[in-house]
Amino acid sequence: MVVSLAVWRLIVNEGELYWCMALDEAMLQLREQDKIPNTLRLYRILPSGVTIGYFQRVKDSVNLDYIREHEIPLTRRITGGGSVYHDGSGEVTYSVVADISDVGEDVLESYQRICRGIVYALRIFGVRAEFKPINDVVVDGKKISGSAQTRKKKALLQHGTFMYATDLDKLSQCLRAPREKLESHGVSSIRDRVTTLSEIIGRRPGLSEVLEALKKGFSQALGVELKPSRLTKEELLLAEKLIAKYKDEEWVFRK
Amino acid sequence: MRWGRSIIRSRAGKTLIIDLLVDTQGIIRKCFISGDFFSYPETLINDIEKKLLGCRLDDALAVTMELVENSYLLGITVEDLLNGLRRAYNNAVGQKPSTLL
Repeated sequence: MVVSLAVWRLIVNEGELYWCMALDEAMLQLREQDKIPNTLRLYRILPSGVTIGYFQRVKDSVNLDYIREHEIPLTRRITGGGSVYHDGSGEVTYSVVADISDVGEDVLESYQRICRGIVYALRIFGVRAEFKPINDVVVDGKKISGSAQTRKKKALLQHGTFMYATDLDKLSQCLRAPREKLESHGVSSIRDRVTTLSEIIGRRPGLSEVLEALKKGFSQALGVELKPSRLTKEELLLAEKLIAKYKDEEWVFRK
Repeated sequence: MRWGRSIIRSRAGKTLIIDLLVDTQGIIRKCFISGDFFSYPETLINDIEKKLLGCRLDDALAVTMELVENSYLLGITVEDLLNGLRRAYNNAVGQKPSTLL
């Protein structure tokens, strides 16, 4: 018996930080209205930027002086979780926008199911990774991917990182973590807590290689067939409108 | 008026930071609840921040307990929130930790 897999849309693109966050939100809103299908988006943020979690305070989560001095774009996500350095030349961000019933009603289980896409992608490189609840994927205890999820009534958005060759020195310059957090992980700096695929396998993988692995990993984890597609006009227009919010200091510095 | 801050590291590995500005009468005038945790829906945290304004500690704790009832916190617990509020408040009014409980 041939079992046909559900088909999800696959979008691969890149863009500036504000647009990328606006597009994730636009996709979530339109999925909620049933105007777009379940989607996996793989993207690069160019130039590199920093996002903070919905509940974070700027002053506690990033090194604002450094970010300003180096003109690194900064915005606040609509998802919780921690601050992220999105390295345009060493990190791929993913977003899953889907009907909650297709991924899992239970929040923690849905995190695990989606994060398994990262675990499987790493397996293709011969790397043994594991999901670390709530929202991390780690290799030998070091974080290689972090995710964050928000939900509407029917749809969810989960986005996260895949650090294949992130500049970890730059990352640790941009981000700030409370002493309490580092101590609880038994490390003295953010740099000691994170790793990249490149660091693990001893070579820098190419972007196309990474994208292929992620496609396979997510396809396997979600049990779906991914069909390359394009954004709809409505998504593009809504994302365009939402950019203003992500650039607005009122939004970014609301805490 | 004085600011009081508490930082709680939850069992799930998340950080909860609470900042309270408390006036000389013991009334909360400003409130920030922040960190890398998750809340479903997200509006819960904004609602708590708003409702705590004008409250003394006991009311603040009661209001928080009531508001979290129909929400789902992930990465922190209700107890973390209540402990954080208590500590931040007591830091603001200058009580020593031994008098917290």
